[in-house]
Amino acid sequence: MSLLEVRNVCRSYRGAGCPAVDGVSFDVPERKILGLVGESGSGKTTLLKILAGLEDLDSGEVRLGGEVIAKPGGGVAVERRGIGMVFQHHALFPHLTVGRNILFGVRKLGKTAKNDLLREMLELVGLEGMAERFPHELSGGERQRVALARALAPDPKLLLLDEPFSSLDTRLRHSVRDETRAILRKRQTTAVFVTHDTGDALAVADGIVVLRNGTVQQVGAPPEVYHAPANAYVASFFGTCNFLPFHSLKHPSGGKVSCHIGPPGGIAAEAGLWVRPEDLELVSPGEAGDALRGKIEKVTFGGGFLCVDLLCPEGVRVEVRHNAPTMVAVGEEWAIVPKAERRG
Amino acid sequence: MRMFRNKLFFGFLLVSAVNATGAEGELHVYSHRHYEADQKVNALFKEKTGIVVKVVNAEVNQLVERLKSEGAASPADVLIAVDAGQMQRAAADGLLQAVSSETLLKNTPEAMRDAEGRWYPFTLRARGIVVAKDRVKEGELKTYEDLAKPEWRGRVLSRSSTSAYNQALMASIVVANGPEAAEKWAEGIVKNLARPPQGGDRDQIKAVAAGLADAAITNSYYLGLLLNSPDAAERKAGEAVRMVFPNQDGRGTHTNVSAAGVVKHSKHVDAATKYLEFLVSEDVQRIYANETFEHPVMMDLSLGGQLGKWGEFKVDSTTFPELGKNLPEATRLFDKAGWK
Amino acid sequence: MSGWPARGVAWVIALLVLLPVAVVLFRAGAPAGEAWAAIVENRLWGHLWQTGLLVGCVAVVALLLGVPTAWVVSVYDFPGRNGMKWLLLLPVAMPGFVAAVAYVDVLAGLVPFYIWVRKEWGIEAFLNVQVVMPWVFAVGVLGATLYPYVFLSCRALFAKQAAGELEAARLLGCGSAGVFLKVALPMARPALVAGGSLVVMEAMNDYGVVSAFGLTPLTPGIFRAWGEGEVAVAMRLAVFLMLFLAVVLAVERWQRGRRLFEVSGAEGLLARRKLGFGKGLVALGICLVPLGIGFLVPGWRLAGWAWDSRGSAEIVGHLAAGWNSFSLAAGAAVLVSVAALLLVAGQRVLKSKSILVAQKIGLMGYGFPSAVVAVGVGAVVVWVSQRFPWASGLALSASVSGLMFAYFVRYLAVGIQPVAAGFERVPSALRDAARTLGENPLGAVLRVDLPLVRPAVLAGATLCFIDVFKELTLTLVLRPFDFETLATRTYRLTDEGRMAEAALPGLGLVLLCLAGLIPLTLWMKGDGE
Repeated sequence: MSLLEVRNVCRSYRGAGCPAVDGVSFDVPERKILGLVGESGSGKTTLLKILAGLEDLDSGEVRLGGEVIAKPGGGVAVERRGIGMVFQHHALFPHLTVGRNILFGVRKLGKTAKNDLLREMLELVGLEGMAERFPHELSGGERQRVALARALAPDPKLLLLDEPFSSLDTRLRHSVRDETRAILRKRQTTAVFVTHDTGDALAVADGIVVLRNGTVQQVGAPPEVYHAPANAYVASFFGTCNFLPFHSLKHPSGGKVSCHIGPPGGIAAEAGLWVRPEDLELVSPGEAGDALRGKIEKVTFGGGFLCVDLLCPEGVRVEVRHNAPTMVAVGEEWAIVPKAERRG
Repeated sequence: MRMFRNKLFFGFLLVSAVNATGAEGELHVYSHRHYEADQKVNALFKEKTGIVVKVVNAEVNQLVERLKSEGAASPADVLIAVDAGQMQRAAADGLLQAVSSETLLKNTPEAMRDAEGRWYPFTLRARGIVVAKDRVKEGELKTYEDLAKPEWRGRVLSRSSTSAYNQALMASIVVANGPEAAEKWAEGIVKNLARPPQGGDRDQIKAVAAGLADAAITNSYYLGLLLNSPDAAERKAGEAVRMVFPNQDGRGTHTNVSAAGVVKHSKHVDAATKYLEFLVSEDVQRIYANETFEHPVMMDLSLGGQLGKWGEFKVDSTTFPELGKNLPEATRLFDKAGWK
Repeated sequence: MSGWPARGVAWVIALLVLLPVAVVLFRAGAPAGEAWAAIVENRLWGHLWQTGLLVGCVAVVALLLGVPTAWVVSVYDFPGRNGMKWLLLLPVAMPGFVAAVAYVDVLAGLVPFYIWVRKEWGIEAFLNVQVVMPWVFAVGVLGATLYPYVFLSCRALFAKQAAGELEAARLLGCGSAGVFLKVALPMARPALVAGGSLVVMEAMNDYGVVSAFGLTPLTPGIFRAWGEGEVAVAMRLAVFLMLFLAVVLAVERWQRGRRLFEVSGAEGLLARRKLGFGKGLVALGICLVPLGIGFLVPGWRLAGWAWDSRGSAEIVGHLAAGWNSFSLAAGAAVLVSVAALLLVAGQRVLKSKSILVAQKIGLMGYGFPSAVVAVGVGAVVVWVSQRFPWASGLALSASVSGLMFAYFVRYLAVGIQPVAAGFERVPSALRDAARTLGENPLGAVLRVDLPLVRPAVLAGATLCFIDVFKELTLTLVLRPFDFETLATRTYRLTDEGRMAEAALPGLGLVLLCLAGLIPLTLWMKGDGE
């Protein structure tokens, strides 16, 4: 049985044209981490607040461990849901020490038990010995860890995280991301986190829910959502995706490729191929046979690869991620073929 | 904080309670007077009779309000005011009780005390005119009415119409000359003022001495205080002016009184009466004559040097009994005349 | 959580604030008879034009003193600037009627000047100049003690909010005068209007200064009518005073236009320009003028007199009065702080619209003229002591309660504003975090908001303490029999012409207010200029 069940939750704001959250449903199994992804305005933060109880819902239902915690017109009060939350800007209490912050939500323990718990939490997040510091004395990464420890200390049934990595700079981000995932795994915590950053979602989540304008676009594991997007929006959300209005893509060695992303929700009548730039490569026109040809318009350095934009006949634009050692330059004509591994 | 508020509350409760019962050897006086001489007099009273005098000082209208709201529970024994008009009204409001004794009847002028014995005067406070010695000739100014004449334009000073002393003076003029004439008189004075009323009587005298004006309406004892001041500049100012007691050929100079009366619900009527008698005794009258320069109530000029210098003068006793009744009219006419 | 007790208390507070005004409006309708007719005929017009002239002139003087000093201190750097920045606030500790003590004898000493005028220009000029001079002194004293309101609001604006615009103007080639006249002054209009209207309200409420110099605007008029027992007359004059206030507020709103009070401009502080020696002296001189008139000169004279009269027998009375002042101010500060916390925290916890309304009503109290509150509360006290005659022996305590009530009504706003600002600064995420950690709404406020709001609460309490400590008008009307505060004692001695003896309690008042101001300025400093 799933720990968290969200059923047809709707929420509108007075005066706004369309609902913030419109008929969203998904489940989160125990000990799993769910990522809610979407642009700003997609309703993800509202949904998170509804789960926490900081906002009401207009219709639908939320169950935690089988019990209804949110329903129209009421639900269980925030402080009684047993749900912990890590806020976007940490929201550490500035007048309390790190230790007091972490122990804020811990009630039922005696003094020694509390101290033990504190030590455990500090060890868990790697902040041993920092119990007497104040939040303003800590760095951004350290504060995030305190926020996490504070939310976990009362041993909540569910942990919510609101854009937990957004305020960190890129270098810090990766390590904090990994650590957070490790901590959650270690504690076997069920968690839902909200992000607009696809990298965060793909790296940390066990399952992903893609939201757009308050509606669910797709629910699935990261590889699924990436390689088998349900529609054009999801496809382009996780990275550039080329749309080729052909049925197939020829390869010089013969054989065709018809990897496409299709159906419902996607672009209606037109059939065609959806191919990611990294699934294509460039070969010299001479060797290409009657494969698709294009003229290079732009070459952008991407670190370990080159992003090559080509213009093909009939105005079709294709982006190819080129990491072969061969040099390419603007104005040259090249042939575009699917990479070996993806043929078939 | 609540505790504190309660403490304040109970503190006052306690004080009121203690005041309400009042020990036997005590006399509670509600007085408008607060001169050092008064403290001397009270100390003397204690010496003589063993009774301690406890004084509460405030404006007389506040004292009257207080008496009214305290009613029968009032701890007050004696009410002292420096204005006959106010005293007459207090009596009319039923706040005083009648007492009498030979001493009191003998030592106070009949014309200047309450007919029913509810209050007795113990000093006289003549309200005359000081004039600059070098600018006003002898006999040039003889009456209050003269001061309103056009030749005195810009040469007269007076304190505000809100002063009880001026109001009583106005009341006496209303009684003597009638309301219309009184109004004209006030208008005349206002036209003649060298500056809008400000300050007290002493300020007017000093201003005359300094040359700002040539005459000022003031109580006589203020001049006495200046002439005998420890401050040399004040003495000099006093010496630059001379006192005129107006209307000597007519009704006499308007004279107010300091008066004392026994409060209706007093618990120590005997002690209070003794106090009133003490106030008019020779020793006390001498103190007043020499320290506050108020005239003794029986006009015995031998009691004080300064008073002798001023000499005898006729006191206006005809308008005196009607002062209290005419105070409201006086205020109204002041307003109409624009006397600030 | 039903929250009804909290809502109930909030409404009680709001009704208490409105009560005095309601009483005044109600009683003003009662027949006033001849006395009122006489007032209308003789005194009313005088009161009205004097009030108008007084507040207009005082506002102008306060602006003339406050704006240039704020400008000079914010934009330029000169020796003594850092000190001036704070010293210019000193007149806040010097109430007008105390400063007046030092100037009354100066006015009285002008006699040779008047005589000279009479000699040179004749009797008309002589009479006129004597009418004008008290006005000059009264307006000068009031303007020089009230300009800090203008100074503060302009300083904040010039230093922070307008920083970007001022720098832009300079870069575009405007000289100093140009920057001041074309950019700074127009931008500062909201600050000028806000500070100016505060000055006008304080001038309207003044009793001590105008009485010392013999002027009779509405407030002394109300006072006199009340003292003479003409209750209905006093009530009607009070209504006129409120009409005046309404006009002032309307003008303020009109001048402010659609702009918000806070000009939220660019962040960041203005870089100050260093002045050469000569110009620096000029700047210092500009600052010393208001500081001198409003604080240094009176302070010096009072100190001299106080020292001379140190052996006086009156000292016992001074100490008793000081104790009274202190206890009243402390009591009021506590009352106000508790009520303010209740209103603001209650609104946060319960998110109740009605409590918000109650809060806004509480804020109105500051705008009610002192004389109006005084006679309103006075009437209530009299009514209570008449209805409950057994309390008449406790008339004393009824009056103290009345006085506290009046202080509460007038100064609740002084407590609410800092507390509300303090709560605003607590990010709502903190409270949400506390909720997710298991705290109910009340617990969240107690454990998170309250500790963070404590400095703001203390600031509000201190402000309230200082305001009540130096309050005169209300205290004069409502004080119990034979009860004096330092303020009323100073005033009485001044009124009796005993200037030298008035110096000691007056100076004591100023020093104690200063003692209260210091923690306040430290808090303001920590809060970011």
